[in-house]
Amino acid sequence: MNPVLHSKRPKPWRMISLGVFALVGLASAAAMGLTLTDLVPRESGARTGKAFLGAALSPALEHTNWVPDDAPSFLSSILQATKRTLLIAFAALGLALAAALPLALLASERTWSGSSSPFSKILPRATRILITLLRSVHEYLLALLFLAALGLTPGAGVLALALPAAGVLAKVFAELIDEVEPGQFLALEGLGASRPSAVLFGTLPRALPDLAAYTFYRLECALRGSFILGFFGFPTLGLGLRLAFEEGDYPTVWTHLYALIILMVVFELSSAAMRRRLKA
Amino acid sequence: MKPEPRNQRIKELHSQRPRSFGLRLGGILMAGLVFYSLISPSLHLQTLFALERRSNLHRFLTQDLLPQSVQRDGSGLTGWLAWAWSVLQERALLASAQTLGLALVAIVIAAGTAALLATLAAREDFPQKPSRPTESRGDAASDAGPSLTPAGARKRAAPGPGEGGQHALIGRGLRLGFGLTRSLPEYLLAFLLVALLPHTAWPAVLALALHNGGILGRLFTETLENVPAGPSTSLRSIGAGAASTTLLARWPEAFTRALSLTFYRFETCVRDATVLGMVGIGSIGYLVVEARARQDVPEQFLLVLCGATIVLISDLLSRIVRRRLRVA
Repeated sequence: MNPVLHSKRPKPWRMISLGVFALVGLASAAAMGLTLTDLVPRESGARTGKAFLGAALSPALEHTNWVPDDAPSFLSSILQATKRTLLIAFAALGLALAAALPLALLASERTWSGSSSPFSKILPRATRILITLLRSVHEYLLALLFLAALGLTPGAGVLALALPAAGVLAKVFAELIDEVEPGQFLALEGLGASRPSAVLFGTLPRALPDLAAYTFYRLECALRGSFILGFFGFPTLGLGLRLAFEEGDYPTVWTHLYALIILMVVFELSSAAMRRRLKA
Repeated sequence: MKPEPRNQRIKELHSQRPRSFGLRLGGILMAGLVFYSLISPSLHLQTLFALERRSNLHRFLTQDLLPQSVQRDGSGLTGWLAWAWSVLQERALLASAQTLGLALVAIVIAAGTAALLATLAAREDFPQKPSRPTESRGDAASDAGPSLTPAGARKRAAPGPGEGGQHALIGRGLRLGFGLTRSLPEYLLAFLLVALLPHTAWPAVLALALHNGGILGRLFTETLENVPAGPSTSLRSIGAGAASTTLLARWPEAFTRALSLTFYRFETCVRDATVLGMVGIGSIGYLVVEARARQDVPEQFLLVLCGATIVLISDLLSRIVRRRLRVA
């Protein structure tokens, strides 16, 4: 063993941090009374699980409950719920995007680098605080608050999804904008372009593929969020799933699950294809 | 007027710029859907500004948010603070601790499992370029890669003749698994698991751990594949096998970044843990639905503030640790 190299090896903080990490996990598990035996389903749980999994291959294709004669057919009501899930997600992401771009430009270091105006200290900091606050409240908590404030209207769900999404988008956008190499930006500034136009035409275009790729990813998140909003009464796919599950109507649950899975797979594949083209 | 040759050149370059029909179609489709959703009659978003909503909102802001006791004796902010402190002591502080506990257990399970599986999923062959591609990017952004399509499949040309078929198959399977567990919402997983498992916090922990394990698995795999090739090449050259190369050369190089990624996911874990209690597990979310059932809006509001505070604190902690790690 080379004694010089050995003395220069990294200090044992890795092992220590791993140990602390595992200990903290074990300690909190113990504090919360989590035991391994509780991981095994009891009798009733096992029965539910069996019934649930047993229905996986036979999803419901028509109403299993009594419905009025003039009610739309089961599959068309699933389609309608899917449509509403999509619409809420798209509306939320559209609003979030509209808010996130200006916020990101305000929070980016590039916009303010070397500026001596009094705003250059306060504005980016204030924007970053606003962004952090937007992200800090979970969308489902917001959804419940908005339900109380506005009543059950799709707009409440859209707002609940849009506000945190705007925060996350703005944070990541600002990071991505700051990572663009400053070549074109400096060139434009050297030619006498104003700061806003140097950022808009020298930096933003180069960040655009990354911004778009991240937006696609957030769209998937918005879609998941929109699905879950149904659990709180919004008329998306989640609503039908929850009601059916509580009735023990597992075939209907599976129809909703398959609708979600198809939606997610189609989205993942198309957004992966788009991202591949963007990066190329 | 004849165009000058310089303009000609610009036009030429303009016509040669990379274009993709699919991308344009996708972009237009996306923009169209956003526009349609904003004006669509099935969402009728304009009703948000209807008179009835406004009066609802007015009542919410002026009356609903204040607890009855405070309204009655008109004690204002001090009264609210006293009431808030009593609720905190009674149950909200405990629930906050439970929320943090959920996130901690989940992230430890997720990171442990992900580290094991990533070791199996990481490809053996060495990266061609002296790579550093994921280093400078924002951590959050590195979450954005494709997941159902195996990451890195495009980077490589045809697989080398020596590449073990079985190992590649395991890697592919694991990557697909990472993608699948990520694409299901963790709230849905928790909701389904509550019905199966005995009444403990496990459903929420498992749901969080599955979702984040998938994401961390993918990120760890990429990190392991992108470490500088030096140490593993030299270990290989003196006859070390695959297992010892990964353990002794790749992991030490990847460790700091893996830890940083874990802390980044921890922030998200805490955020998600605040709502997972809604499926019926002691934590902030549970108290929120309980307060909602009692139509206790002031308490709901206080709990939302509580949740935000936990998220902000863990954000701050994680940011400090990650900055340290970047320096180390």
